[in-house]
Amino acid sequence: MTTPVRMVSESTVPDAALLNDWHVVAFTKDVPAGKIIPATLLGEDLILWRDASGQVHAWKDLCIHRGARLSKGWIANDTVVCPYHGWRYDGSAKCVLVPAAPDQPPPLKARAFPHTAEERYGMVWVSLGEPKHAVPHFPEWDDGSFRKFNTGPYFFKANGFRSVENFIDATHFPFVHGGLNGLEDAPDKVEDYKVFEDESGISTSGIRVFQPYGDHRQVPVNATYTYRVFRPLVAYFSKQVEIADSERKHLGNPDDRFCTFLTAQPVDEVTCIIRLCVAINFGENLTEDDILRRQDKVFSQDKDIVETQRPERIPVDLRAEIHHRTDKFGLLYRKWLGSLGLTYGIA
Amino acid sequence: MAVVVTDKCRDCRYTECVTVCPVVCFHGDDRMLYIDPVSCILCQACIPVCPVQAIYDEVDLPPGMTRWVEINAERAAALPLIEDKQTPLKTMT
Repeated sequence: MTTPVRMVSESTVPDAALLNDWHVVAFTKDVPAGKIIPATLLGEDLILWRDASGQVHAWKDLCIHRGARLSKGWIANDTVVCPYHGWRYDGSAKCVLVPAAPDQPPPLKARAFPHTAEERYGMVWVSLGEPKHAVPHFPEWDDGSFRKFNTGPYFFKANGFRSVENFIDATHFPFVHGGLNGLEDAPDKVEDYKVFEDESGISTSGIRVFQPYGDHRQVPVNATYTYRVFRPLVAYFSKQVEIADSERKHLGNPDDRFCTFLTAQPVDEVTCIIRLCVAINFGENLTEDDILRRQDKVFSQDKDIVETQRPERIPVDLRAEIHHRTDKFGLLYRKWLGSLGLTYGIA
Repeated sequence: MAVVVTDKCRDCRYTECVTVCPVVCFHGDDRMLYIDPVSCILCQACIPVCPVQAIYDEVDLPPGMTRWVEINAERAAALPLIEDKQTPLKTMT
C-alpha cells in the first residue's frame, strides 16, 4: 500500500522482487502483546505489535492524520494509540476512536497501513508487497529429533547480500574463525564441489573441512557443509559432523548434524540484521547458553570482516572482483541475484 | 577484452585450465580448447596453469596472434563445453 505523501526517508526504491518477498524483521519472542516494536525494512519504518488474540501486525510507522510515528505510541484496549492526538487503530488497521470527537464514528479513510505478516520458526516474517513465494521451508523444523534455537539478532553495518555470501562461504573459516572453524596455519584445501540451481533456489554438494573446535562440544570434527540459498536473503546449511579425534569418535554418530537457517533483514541497502534458527540432533548435554555463546562468537567475527567490504553493495557483474574456482557458490549466488533483476543493494 | 587459447594448445589439450575455471567457459574439439568470451569473467586463473603457455589475455597477445580473439569466439560458440579434465594428447616432460 502506498501513502499519499512521499517521505523524505524514502529515497531509494527497492526492487519489486524484494518488496514481494518475505523478510524476517523480529523474533516472535521480541514482540509480546501490549508493546509496540519499531523495525525498518527496505528503508521503510514499521511498527510490529501483537493483538489480544495473539495475531502479529506489521504496519507502516505512520499515523495518516498528521504523520506522527505510531512507534512513539502505545497499546490500549487492544488498539494502537497514536501519541499525537490519541487516535486509536484496531487489529483491522481501522481507526476506532478520535478522542476529540468521541461521539462520532472516525472517518473511514482513517486507517493504518498494514503489511502482510506471518510467524514461522520463531521469527516474524513481513512482506511489503504481495508475496510471490511462500516463506522458505526449513527442512529440520518439523523433525522432532532436532532441538531448535533462535540466535541473534546480529546487527551488521553491511549489505545483506554480502552478509549472506559470507554465510555460504566455506573458505574463510581458517582466517575469520581461526582456532574454531579452521586452522590459520593449516587451512583446508577445499575440494571441488558441485553447484545447482532450481526453482527453490541454489545449492551445493557437500564441502568437507576440518574444524578444531567444530561444534559446541569443543571437539575436533571433520565437517561436511551442504549449502542452500532459498531466497536472496534467506540461506541455510546442513553440517554433518564426525569427531576427528579417534579416542572420542565413539561419542558421535554418523547422522550428527547441525543446521543453520539464516535470515538477513535488509534495513536498507548497506545495513542488515541477521537472525538464525539453528537445529541440532546431537549433544543432548549442550545448553542453550552453549549454543548461543558459540553462535554469538562466530557471527561477531563475521561482522568484523563483512563490515569492511567495499564496495558496500555487492557487485553482480562477475568481472568485478575476482572469483576463484573455490568461490563457485558465491559466484552462482551473484549470478542468481543478477538474474532476478535486483538493483537495490547491488553495486 | 578477452582471454584466448592459441594454437600452442593444438594436439596438446592438457585441460588443466578446465579444472581451475570458475565459470565453465572452455569449449573444445578433439584437438584443442577455446574460451567463450561471453561467459569468461577474465579472472586469468587458467593462464598460469597451462603447461605450454597457450593462453593469453588479449592485451598480451604476441604480434600476429590477434586473430585468435575472433577464432575463440567463433569456435567456442560452435563446440561443446568441456567441463572436466580430459586425457592430455601429449605427455609433458
